[in-house]
Amino acid sequence: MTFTLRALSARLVALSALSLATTFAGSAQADGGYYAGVKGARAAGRGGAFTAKADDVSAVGINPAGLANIGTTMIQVGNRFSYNEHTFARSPTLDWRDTQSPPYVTFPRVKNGAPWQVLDPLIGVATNFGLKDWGFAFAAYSPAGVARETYPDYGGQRYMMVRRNAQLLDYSLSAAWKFKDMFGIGASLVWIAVPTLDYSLMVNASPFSRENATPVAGGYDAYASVHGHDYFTLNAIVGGWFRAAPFLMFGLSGQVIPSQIETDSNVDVVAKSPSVGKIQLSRNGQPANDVGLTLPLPMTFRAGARYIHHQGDRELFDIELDGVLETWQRVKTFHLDARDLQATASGETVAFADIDVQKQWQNTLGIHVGGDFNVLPDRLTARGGVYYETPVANPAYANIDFTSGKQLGFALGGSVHVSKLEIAFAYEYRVQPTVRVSDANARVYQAAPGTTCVAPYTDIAECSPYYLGRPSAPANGGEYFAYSHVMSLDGLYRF
Amino acid sequence: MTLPHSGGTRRLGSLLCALYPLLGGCASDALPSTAPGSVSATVSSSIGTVVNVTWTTTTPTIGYVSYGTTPSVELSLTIDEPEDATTNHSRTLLGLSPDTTYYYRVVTWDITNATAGTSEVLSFHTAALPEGTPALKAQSFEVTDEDGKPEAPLDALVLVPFVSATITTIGVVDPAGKLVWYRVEDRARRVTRARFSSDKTAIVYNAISDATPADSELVRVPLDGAASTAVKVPNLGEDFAVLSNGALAALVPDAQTVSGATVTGDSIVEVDPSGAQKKVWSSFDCFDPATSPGDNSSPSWTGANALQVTGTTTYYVSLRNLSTIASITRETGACDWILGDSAAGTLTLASGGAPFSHPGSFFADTKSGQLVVLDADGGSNGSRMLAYDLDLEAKTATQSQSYDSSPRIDVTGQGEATLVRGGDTRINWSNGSRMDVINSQGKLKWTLSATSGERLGYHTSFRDLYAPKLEGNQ
Repeated sequence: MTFTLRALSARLVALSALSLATTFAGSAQADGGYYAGVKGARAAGRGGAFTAKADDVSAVGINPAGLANIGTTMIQVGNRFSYNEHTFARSPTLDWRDTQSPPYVTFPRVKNGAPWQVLDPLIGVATNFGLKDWGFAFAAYSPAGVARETYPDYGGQRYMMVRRNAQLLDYSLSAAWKFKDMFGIGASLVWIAVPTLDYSLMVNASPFSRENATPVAGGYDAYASVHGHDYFTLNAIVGGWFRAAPFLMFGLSGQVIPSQIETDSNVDVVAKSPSVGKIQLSRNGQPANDVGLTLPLPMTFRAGARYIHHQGDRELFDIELDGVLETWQRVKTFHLDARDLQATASGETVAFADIDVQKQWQNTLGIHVGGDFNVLPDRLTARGGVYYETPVANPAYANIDFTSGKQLGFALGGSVHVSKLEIAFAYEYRVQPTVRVSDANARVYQAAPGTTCVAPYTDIAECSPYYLGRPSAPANGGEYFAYSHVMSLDGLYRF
Repeated sequence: MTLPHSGGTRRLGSLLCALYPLLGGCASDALPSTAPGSVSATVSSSIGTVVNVTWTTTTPTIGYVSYGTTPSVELSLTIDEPEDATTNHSRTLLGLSPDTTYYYRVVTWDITNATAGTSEVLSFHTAALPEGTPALKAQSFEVTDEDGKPEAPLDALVLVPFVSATITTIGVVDPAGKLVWYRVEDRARRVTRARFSSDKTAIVYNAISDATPADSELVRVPLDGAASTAVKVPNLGEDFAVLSNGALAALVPDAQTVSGATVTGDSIVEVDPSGAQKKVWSSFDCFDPATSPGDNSSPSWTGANALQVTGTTTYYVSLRNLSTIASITRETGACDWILGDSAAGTLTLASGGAPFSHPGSFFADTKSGQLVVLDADGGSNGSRMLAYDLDLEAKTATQSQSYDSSPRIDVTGQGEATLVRGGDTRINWSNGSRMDVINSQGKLKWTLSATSGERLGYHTSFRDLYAPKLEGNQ
């Protein structure tokens, strides 16, 4: 074990700098949401095939066991810049405000009005504290994803979602140990902070029966917005690797604690028609608007096999195949617990029912293939990768809030080494091919918290005769298409 | 259906998709086709302004047709009721202008699948009016109500026979004076009245055979141009009525022996679809030829010439030769009130009021105490419309309004005055080949002239040819 006062001082300075940086990130960064891609330019440049390699700070979220292989102290600072296009063209429908001759209505394609995401950081330090077979790390990062999406108030998507802003920040404390170069294990304790989770959509606030299905617009349309936060959710990631031969190693990791984001939120409901007047929310006769919003988090399991081709003592190239299983089936709904709120408008008071944005997500399997090629040993590395992920949702539950179809992507990247500094960069193109959902199959319905139409939705006295068997009008039928251009740039300083 | 989205990025995505054939490529769920198929429009062979639109759908749907004279198809039928969902559809367009290109499209709704569909905008051309149909000219006038505010323009249609020397055109005329539905009766028959059937899906008119009275009949012509049917009513008179229960009531002569002599009066008979008749009233029930002799014996002593029914309870009848209008209880045949005849009359004309002479058709409403009548011979300036307020408790009739024809018309047969929506009165000047609508202030709002000189038979005023809302004498 090599341990000097100077080295310790240097590492303390690094940790202090990291603390300052994460304070900034926690207050100013705007990233998060449900995931898309991986953090770290080196991992991203390989198309996410990094479970077995996992040899930089991004290992804290991918496979913490890899930290045992860093063998020095590393400060990694990086950011992702992305352009995230997400479009939706709603299926034509009839405007049942006119029950005599309901007009056939088509909807223009809408797209995310906030596609640029410029602050999406990863800041961390990893060190072995001079302990040869150990590795430790502290990192703060926003999980890879699209933090913010906004759509027109009156767009065809408005009964699904108008705006979402999900700022997530993970603080990770990790440790790893290895036995010689045969195998290693590691774990990360992750504190997930959600400083902002806003979600808004248009709802049909009609208190009248049979007005629960107004697919184009309704006289009681109201803009419901939920603003909340959840500063503390714990999770953990464990991992390991095994070197079967000098040229072959395997990695395995998992985010193993089932957890969910449960925000303390406030809801505001504003009627779009002046004739409806102000919508007052109350509980037990007292003004109140606090609600709870629950978003389950998936567990994630990664497994990777990495082939390393040596030329002499050096790695010439490697290629890794990863499989990633994410248990999204935990996400059945985004559940808004109204906590027995009541809504009063135009002299009518109705119970403000809980709102469940139907998800019914399913587990996903991702296949990632990627590798590095040392073009100029210790000077220049090129990397690339491709990946495919199965759909997180049956098309019936497609929604504009998160991409839910199959995901395809490729990545190209590289590293330039200058002394102790490595500049890593990656470009990633990610696409969700067109997902088409017919209104017949659509299972996300216009939210109508005041409706008296209840399952099985066949009471013609209470339910719209044009949507019998459905709680309301389908809101998510149409075509979805999404793609992202992502540029990652990291600086890694080893000393 | 594929909705476009743009950009080279999509092409890049497509290229990427092509690299993943083993992973299912980029195929996704196709939206089912809900567009109506086999859409076609057929102009009726019998009525050139009637068009039948048909289409099919792969699943049971309800639907409607939008149409108009521009591709924006500004008019629409009403959508089917949910219980009428089907895969083979047929809807009839009515009230179209002759010899005109129309555009149309079909809109469907699949309730089971909550899915809308539409066809492309297609077109058809209506047929020109057949030779011999009347030339019409309508004029609208801006008028103000009693508060000086502009009144809404006339939006009612009118069903009326146009009688020429050789043929009769039973026509529906829109406010612009266009003949938008017609039936040509080219047999040697006299047509004096047209009405809607009780279900409002057909027009019924009388076809009187003066040569062979026994062959007279009531003809039923479906609005959609389907084949007509007829029921024989021997000795059919100038008017008939349609009861709300579907039965038809007609004026027919009633000959009885009075003091050893045969006297021909009038009766009301109800006719069932088979043609069987049931007499429900006779003029002998309320009038005595001895005390109410009338001023003419042709075609009958009382000269019944116009009929009205309210629901299934009350008949009103005009007796031209007695210059009398009577209200009759259908159930008993008793006369509730009689205005005009000095011997049998039960209502007294309030002082200063003008009596009517040789009335044409009329509109009476006992409930509201209103009566308007075409007074053929009472005025010094020719025929006129007279309106009365009836007070059945005080047994008085007070004249409230009068409107002279101008220029002068002396109505010699038919002629009619009816109250219509908004307190307006529609006056049919018959052989004057003219029809006027005046407001409650007596201001002329609308006038229609048959410039080709046809006589107008008794009319029916209504709105909305698809779901007629009848006005006045129904």
